Amino acid sequence: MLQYAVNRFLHTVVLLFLISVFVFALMKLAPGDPVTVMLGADYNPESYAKLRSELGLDRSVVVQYLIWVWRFVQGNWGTSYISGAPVARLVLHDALPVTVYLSFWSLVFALVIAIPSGVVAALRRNTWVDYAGMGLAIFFNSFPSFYLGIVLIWIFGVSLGWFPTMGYVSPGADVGRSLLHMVLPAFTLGAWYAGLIARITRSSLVDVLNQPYIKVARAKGVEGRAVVYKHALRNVLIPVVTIVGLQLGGMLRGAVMTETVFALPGIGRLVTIAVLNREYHLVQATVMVIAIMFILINLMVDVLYRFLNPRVREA
Amino acid sequence: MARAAGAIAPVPAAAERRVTPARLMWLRFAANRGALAGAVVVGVFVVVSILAPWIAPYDPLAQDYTAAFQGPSAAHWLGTDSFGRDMLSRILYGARISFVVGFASVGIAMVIGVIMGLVAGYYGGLVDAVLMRIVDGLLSFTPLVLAIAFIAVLGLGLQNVILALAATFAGMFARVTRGDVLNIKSEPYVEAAQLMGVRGTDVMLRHLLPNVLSPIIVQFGLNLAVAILLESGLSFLGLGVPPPEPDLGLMIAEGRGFIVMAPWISGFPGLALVVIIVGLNLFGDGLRDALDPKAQIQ
Repeated sequence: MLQYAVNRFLHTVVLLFLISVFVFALMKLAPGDPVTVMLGADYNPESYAKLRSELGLDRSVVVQYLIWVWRFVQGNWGTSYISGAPVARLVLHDALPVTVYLSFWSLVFALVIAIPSGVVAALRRNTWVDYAGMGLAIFFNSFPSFYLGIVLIWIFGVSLGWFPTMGYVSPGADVGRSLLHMVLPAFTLGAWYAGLIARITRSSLVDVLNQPYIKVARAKGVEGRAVVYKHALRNVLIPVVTIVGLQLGGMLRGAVMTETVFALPGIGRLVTIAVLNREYHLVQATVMVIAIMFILINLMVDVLYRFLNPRVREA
Repeated sequence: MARAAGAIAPVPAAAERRVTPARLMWLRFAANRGALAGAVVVGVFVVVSILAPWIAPYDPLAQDYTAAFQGPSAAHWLGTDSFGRDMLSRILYGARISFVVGFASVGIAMVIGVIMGLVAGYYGGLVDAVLMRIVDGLLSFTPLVLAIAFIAVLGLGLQNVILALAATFAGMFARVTRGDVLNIKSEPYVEAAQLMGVRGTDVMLRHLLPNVLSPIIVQFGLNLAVAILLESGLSFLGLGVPPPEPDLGLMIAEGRGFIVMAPWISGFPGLALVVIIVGLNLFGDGLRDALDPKAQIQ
């Protein structure tokens, strides 16, 4: 286990290094000269040379990379040209909590819908309940989140007027309104995820129900429901947790779309606006933060998986 | 293959007619009703989008302000948008863009990724280590964010979207190919070829590639839907194909503001996109089950 932890840690460090090189290289290739942009109207040859050397852009590429990494680690990510606010604050303080909040409710929604549906479909397999449930799951799995969001806005926001369609209210400001604003976005983002989890739950439960130990339990006279809840479901959770975790990163993809549709000021909306405004250092910081989150989530899932599955732990 | 043949019950004629691997795959695929339905749906959309210049009732870019915001009618089956452009014609051309981007980006990704995977798996050592670390790096981004990062550098436009998506998918092909090459590299026929002095490129292309092809085709099928979804998503965000092109994602974005008075402007392109994606997913899943039975999710 210790050996594994050390290896996994080293692997993560290597990945973080690769990502940083990649993001740095990408932004080096970006068109335009950041110094000219930053100076704007204050441009003259002296101020240009001064800022260039201040930013370390007259040094070698390797030194520039090291400077950039050092600044990144310290949280010194520069300021936004457009809003004038520090990039670190825009990303970590303003945008990230919105995305985490949205993802949290989407996950809750997806699990509450998907696991019971998957269980019911597996227990009634090859009946119309199964077909309808799994058909719906594949459908939601294929529904582009930005389109689903618009359809939901149209039906529940505009036509029925049940839920607000735009904007974000911090839970600190008004819990009730904040939750109300999350209903449609969480449904939009969670639907894709729910489809996936329902399918995995169903197929895992079908597998487990065919295992000898279930037959033994049935033969011993354990009642139908008790077999499912006491013996089968626990083993179904292992693949489900794995997929939930592995796809948590995929949720970020949906988050970018969902935030744009519902005008939520999260990290996905931020990176989109940054690209459109050509604020490369903001793109750089946002992409780095998303990639780091993705890697850390995968690391956590891996560790959790080993913890849940003793066979892998001892191997 | 012999064991796989035994698993297929409804092929009693096998004794008389020689069951080639290709035929076996087709039988497995055809037995899957969902996959067949998906293939039909995708096939219809591909044909219709190829024929778009001949069957589209209007020019997809032609504006007619007197006809703006018209609902579905005999003249405009799917209505018109805010510029009076015919929605049906735009959707036909939009499906064309989706398929071009899908096939081109996944195709380029496949060529690059397979070459990387073959070289890494065959030569091993430092080459392998370097190539696979690059792949690790690429795959540790979530695809949409990686594509957005590439777009940030390359700029907007159809070509750049294709390149960005190709870069996003190449890593997956490389990883799949390398894994299978490692598995068969020490087979006797490969070693025999090496001992006979066959050049490295020939070993890779003539002996290794044909034997690792199935998972690559499966990957191609599964990634098509993802590519089309990402492309329309990028265009929806304003980071893909720029207006006035008839792109499905862009059309959905353009109709957002008119959702109350003209829901068909977003509605129909979205519906077309959903049908294409569902079709491709069913097709891809069927392809996976037929070609690569081991790789089924659980």
